[in-house]
Amino acid sequence: MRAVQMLLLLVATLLLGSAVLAQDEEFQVLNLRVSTSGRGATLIVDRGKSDGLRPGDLVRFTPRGGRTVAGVVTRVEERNAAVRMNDPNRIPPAGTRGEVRIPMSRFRSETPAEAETPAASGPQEGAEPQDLELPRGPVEFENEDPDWTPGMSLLAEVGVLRPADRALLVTGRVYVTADATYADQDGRSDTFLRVGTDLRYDNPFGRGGSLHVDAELNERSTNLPDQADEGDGYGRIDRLSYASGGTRFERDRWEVGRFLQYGMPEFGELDGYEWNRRFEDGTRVGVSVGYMPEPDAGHQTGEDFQLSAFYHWTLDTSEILTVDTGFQKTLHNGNSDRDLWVSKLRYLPEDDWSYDVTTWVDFYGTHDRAKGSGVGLTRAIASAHRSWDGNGLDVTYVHAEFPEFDRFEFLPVTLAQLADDHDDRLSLSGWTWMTAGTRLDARVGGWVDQDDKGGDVELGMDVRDLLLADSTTEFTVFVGQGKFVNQQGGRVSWEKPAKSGLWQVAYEYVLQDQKGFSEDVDDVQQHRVHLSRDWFGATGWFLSTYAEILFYDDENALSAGLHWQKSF
Amino acid sequence: MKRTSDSSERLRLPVFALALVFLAAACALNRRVFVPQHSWWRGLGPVVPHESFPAECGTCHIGNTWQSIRKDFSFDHGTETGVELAGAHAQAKCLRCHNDRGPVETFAQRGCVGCHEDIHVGQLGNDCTSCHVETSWYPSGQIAMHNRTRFPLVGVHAATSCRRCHPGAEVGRFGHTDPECLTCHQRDLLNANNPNHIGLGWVDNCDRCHLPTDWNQAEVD
Repeated sequence: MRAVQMLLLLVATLLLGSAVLAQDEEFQVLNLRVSTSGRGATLIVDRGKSDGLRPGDLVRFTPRGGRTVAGVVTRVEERNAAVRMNDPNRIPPAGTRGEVRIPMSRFRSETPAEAETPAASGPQEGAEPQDLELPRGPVEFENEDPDWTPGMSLLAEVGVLRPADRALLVTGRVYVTADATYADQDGRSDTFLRVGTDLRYDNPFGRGGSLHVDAELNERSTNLPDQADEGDGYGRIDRLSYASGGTRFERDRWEVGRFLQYGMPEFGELDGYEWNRRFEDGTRVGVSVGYMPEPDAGHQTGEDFQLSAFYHWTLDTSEILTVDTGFQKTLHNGNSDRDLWVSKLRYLPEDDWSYDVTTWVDFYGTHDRAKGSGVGLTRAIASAHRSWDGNGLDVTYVHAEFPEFDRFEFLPVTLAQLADDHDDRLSLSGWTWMTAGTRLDARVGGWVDQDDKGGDVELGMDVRDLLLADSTTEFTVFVGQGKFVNQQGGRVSWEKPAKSGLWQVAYEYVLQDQKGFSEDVDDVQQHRVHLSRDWFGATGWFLSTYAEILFYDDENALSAGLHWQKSF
Repeated sequence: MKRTSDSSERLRLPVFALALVFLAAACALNRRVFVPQHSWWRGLGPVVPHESFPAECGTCHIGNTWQSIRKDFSFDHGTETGVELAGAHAQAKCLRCHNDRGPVETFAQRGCVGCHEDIHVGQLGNDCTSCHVETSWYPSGQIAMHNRTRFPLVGVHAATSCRRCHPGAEVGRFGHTDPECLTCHQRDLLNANNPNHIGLGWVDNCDRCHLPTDWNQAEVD
């Protein structure tokens, strides 16, 4: 009897020891996701028998923002498994991540004979014989694949769609904009109605290209005191073009029709043809030819012919450092008009200062009466920007002159203005979060032109949740020295998210000191009150309305408008 | 160089243009060279990277070729990628950004112009958010911004359409404009007959008499 007790004790000790050893066993954590959910307490995960999953395994899911929930594997297929959740009221949605701890021994001891059938019978781990006939000796493969070469992956590549294989995709927007302004003293008014659409058809003809149509109808009416009223109505096509290529499958890209130039947008819109080629190292070259529509509401074309070419250099395919340069030759009514050279430099690292410089340089000849022969820097924009920990700093320099050409791009100026006028502005702005809900921002700028110089300073503070929860209140004070007026003032604006939209209210007071007037009449006090409400819906529509009242001197002006847009 | 009407030069240009058109057309009509994936833009994978996605394709895709997306598909872009989609971007179709032109990161780092055409042709710089918000392209804040120029909008100027001074405003062109009164008020000068400004030689320095609040009022010393 004692021997039997000793034997039982020995067996129990061995069993306990094996259980302890089993607890100390190594596990592999298998990550998985919920692939199908919503069918009662059971869901499907994206791992199965081939990943080592077995019935009875405990699965822990970590839904977003919620506590961990658990379930037990009840059935395994080759590449998925069913899991019954312990709490049927907490079923994680599809996509939720989860994990299972799988004993390493399961992989070590796995043999074909121990593999389970797809529908295991119980929650406990078990192995059933598999109906496989193992080869006895080396297998001779008789099938020869002439396309396979040593070193080639045995798995097929993912069948990536080419643009020409994609279904027709129509995206874009339609919009209506209406604005009206009325000044009460002299009865001046201005109304403006715009109805337009931007449409893009991807793969419309089964060749992988895209068709762009941007068009707008607008109607404007202006009533001026003591002058004839003005009224204009335009039907304007901003874009009607077909583009093809420029994808990862086609290094060449071409576009024909009316469009904004792709390679060098600084050259403007074109009624013509553009071709680009991208090389393996990321550099690009391109040429374009065609007429340039007038850059105004009429968009008349046929007077200004252009030829241009550009080169785009990049340090590598990430395009963090790029340099673009291009030349555009234009003719106005058949006569040589403008020789423009545009250059751009961009350095856009993720966590450092970024730089963006663009220059427009014109070449002039002896026929240019105001400028004379030579080279002129017509426009330059250089900016440097740095963001860190919610703080930011911007430095921007802008230089502008009038270029001398026959094309209509700006209101007429005299030869003297063409020769001498310039406007240079250097500005510095920065912002920092003082606390989680308070942000300070500051701007300092200075300008100089051919006659005068001036500058401006603006200090602002944004405070969150000051008047109402989720609201932002902004206080701004500013002073400025303009060409004809000095001003000082302040602005208070408040905005609060509302149901599917935003409320905004702002008030601005400015005391303006008109230069050159006697002291009793040189001050103009100006009050501006602005109210706006935006709505945006989940189906892509947006509506913005605003009203603004301006009080200055003895006159008032009222502006109101709306903008409705549906994107698809 | 401009306004040259030399006949040889006029002939040379059309020939040059014709040659360029021919070259471009030849390139376009040339047989398309389909290059294998990854061969000219290193780092390319699927249009949308799938490394962190579930292995069960049916979570998102349907169809025999797995090229269609389920109607009940949803994706938390901010949580899954670290890039929050705000405003209209949250409603946009995936293919508007993730498409065959190349890795979306390369275009996104350029800012707005990486995806959106710059109808201002680069002349307003690269900080689009100083006028536009992500819910729509409808601009706002121009009067406050004009205070930071040499020509703050005083009086009636703050209630005037942009296009009165910027003739290309309706197509997004806000180029250099001279701030002298006559640049925009030429017609007012021609119509000023009481008294006759031109007859009296009052053709410049308008601000000696006129305040910017109302063109019809004049202050006489």
